Amino acid sequence: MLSIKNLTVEFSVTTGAKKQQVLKAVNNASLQIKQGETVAIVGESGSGKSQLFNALMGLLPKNAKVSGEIEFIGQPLLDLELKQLNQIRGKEIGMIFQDPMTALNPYLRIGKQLTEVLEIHRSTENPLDKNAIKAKAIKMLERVHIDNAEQRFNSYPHELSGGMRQRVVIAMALLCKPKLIIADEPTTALDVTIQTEIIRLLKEIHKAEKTSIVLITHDLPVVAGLCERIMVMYAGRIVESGTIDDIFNHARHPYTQALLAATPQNISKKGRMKSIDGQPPDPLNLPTGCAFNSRCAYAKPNCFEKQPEETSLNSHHQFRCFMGIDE
Amino acid sequence: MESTTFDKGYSPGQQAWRRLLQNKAALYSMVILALIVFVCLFLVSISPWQLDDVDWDNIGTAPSFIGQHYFGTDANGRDLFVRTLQGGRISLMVGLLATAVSFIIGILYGAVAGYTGGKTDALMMRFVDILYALPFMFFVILLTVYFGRSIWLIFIAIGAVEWLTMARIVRGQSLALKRRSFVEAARVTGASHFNIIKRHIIPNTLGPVIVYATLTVPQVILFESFLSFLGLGVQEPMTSWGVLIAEGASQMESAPWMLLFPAGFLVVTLFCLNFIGDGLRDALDPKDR
Amino acid sequence: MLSYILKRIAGTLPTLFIIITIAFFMIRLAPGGPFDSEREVPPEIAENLERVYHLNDPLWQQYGYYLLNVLKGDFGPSFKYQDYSVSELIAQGFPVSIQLGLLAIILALVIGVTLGSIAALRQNKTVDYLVMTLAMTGITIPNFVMAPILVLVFAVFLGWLPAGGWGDLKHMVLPVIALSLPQIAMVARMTRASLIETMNAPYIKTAKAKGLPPRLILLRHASRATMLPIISWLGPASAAIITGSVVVEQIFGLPGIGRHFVNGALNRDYTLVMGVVIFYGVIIILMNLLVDLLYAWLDPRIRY
Repeated sequence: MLSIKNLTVEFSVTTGAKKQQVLKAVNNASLQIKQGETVAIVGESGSGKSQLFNALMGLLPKNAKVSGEIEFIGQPLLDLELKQLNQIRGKEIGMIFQDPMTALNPYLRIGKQLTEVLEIHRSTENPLDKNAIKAKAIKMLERVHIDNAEQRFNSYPHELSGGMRQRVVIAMALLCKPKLIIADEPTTALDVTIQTEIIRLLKEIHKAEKTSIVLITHDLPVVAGLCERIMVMYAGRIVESGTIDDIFNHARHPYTQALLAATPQNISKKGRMKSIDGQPPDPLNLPTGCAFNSRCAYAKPNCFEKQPEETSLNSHHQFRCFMGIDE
Repeated sequence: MESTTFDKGYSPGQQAWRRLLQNKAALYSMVILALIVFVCLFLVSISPWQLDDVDWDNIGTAPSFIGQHYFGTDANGRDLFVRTLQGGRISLMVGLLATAVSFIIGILYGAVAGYTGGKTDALMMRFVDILYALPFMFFVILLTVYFGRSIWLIFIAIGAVEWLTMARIVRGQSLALKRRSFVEAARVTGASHFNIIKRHIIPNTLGPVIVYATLTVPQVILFESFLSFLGLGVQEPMTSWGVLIAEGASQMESAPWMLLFPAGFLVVTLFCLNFIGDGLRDALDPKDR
Repeated sequence: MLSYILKRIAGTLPTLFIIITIAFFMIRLAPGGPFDSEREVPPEIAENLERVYHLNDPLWQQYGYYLLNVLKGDFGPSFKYQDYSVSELIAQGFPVSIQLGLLAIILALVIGVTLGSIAALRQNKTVDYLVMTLAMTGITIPNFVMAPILVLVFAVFLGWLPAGGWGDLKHMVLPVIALSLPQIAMVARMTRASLIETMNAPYIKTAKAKGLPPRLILLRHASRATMLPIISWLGPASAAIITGSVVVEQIFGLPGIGRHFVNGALNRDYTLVMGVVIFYGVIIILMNLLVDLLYAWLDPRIRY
């Protein structure tokens, strides 16, 4: 359903010394998502995971340069005319953002923000009138477990709690029954208890509607509750991708392994949490060779010269590392 | 405050200076302004005419090089070149002095208010708030009506009005500063409050204060010109750009140069000061516009 | 809601009081005024003065009278034009000044917001630089320079419009333009900055992600956030316009309040000057109050 090939996203920036430089956020990344799949994109801040999907949705700032191919149900998305893109955004693809406090317009009632999605995407087969639209919106609010939906319909965002706001955002994304939902770190800004509720809600939706879900996150444990496949991103590239079993139990890329080791469950006997030494590379100045080379425990001279190609272990597990090849 | 990487070996002050110099508009403005100041201060002697000399043969004549009336004469036969430059001296001086007055009052008031904090601070700032709400332009005019129109009064009046915002800025800064560790360190070593204010708080508020002061000077010059234009500012025999513009406006149809020269000087000076002020603001706090 | 309004009004009272009190004392103690004991005053006038100003009563009572009168709208007689009361003079000039002021504000909002929006949407392109340069010019050049130049160009050289006077539409054009120009510049600048900031807000990203067309995003989502700072500006803007009107009325010879004010200042007509100051003060306070209320109404996050 969704196919991304060789996507590169670059930003031209002016650094403090007033120099023009190029920041590579996404570096030749490729991935595929099938209809009905739930996929997690995991990576640290700055790994490019958000920008990848911003490019998809046409939400990049003006100083961005995109190259590569993105195809959604057979339709190329890059360089699409705005009008056509707007037919897809909100209707075929829905997006959920990280911070529900700022994702909603504080000056408009949430009812309005919900109904406008339906109003915009009205079609000849779907000629809904105002009342029908309002009813649909209220029903969706109930669907995402918001109590007193009819009263809440007239509320302003600041009158709702963080968790409720995020549900509203999810409701907004669901209204037109999209085929794909992109959730960009939907739980990062929320309390832990609310996090699980939101993930549960997403799972419910997936079960009921068979919507494809892409979950972008930096938090590995969260993923297990929802996604079938995981892709690990580092410095703009996808370094490993596989099923939950592949990743959690048979991780091959050193970064993936380090990530797994760094989760709170893996506190060593000495009571210390494992972290990954070093810093991610400067996107203004990506190193030659594998981007993980300076932090990798297994780095060999080869790793500093060439970028590893993709190795396929089987139909569902791929990774990019020289280590596997040498074996 | 600043988040950019520092080049090796330059202090924040020097960094800011370099950034300022990179700003073309500010750079040219500084040059032009220096030129204007130089001309007003030193070039009066080029012309053979004095401020009050009436050239009976040449009343209301256009600028000419030959007659040595470079800017022409006004309706009373007085040489406009000399008057413009003299007016410039007055206008610039008022600008500087009144700004200095407001500077001093504002800094002291604001630093004390912010540093003292608590009820005193609240009271002091409430006073500022009330004054701020008053249409102070009118009060300056009132003061001139009341006390007569002396130039010293103008300094004081304008300064007394402009110190308010300065006080607010400084107070905000000193509120933030007094929590910083070096202030605590100074207290621990037994420095008196006054000394702390003098040596620690005030120097560290200088950044935004300098920016604001630079932007105040054109406002003050404007204010003085405004008063003089209405006839409430600088009086005979002294003159300022505001007075000259008023005279020029009344003679506009027959002698446009009377308006254009002093107006030109005023506008260029204001532009320069504004560009420099903006440039300073950008230099001291670089942000993408 | 009502309590909010009342509270805000109450907050403005101290300012008003101070103005009126200062007014009273300035009049009372003015050198060269009728209270100056060194002046020779013919007996009938002295009698009049005593009656009108209650000079035989204790000071605090005099103050009381003045206060009451002011609250009733009576500012006393003009010093200079003994036949007229200050209130009459103000009432005379009011229609002119208010027309001038309102038109200037409307122009400032309409043109300023339009220009600023265009500049913001075409950021860093030629249009943007053009608008911003114009704005810079409008703000820097004082209106007492701009007005004569406008007259020079449009009245003297081109002869399209009259150089002064008041009467019908063509008399209003130049004064209103001269008065509003700095405000247009200011509003344009503010709108540009505000719109740029608003368009970078996360909820605009959400709106785009929903597939909303750009015009809808601009008009429905961005407009309120953008306009709020402009609305705040209306308060100080009215003070600026009042100040500007003094100059503009002088230059164009318009029979407004500003002209009375200047003449009063030049003639040392204390009651007139003080009356005008109080009047202007009230208008500014009212405008600020209106602006506050408007702001609170528009921003749902502020609850009274």
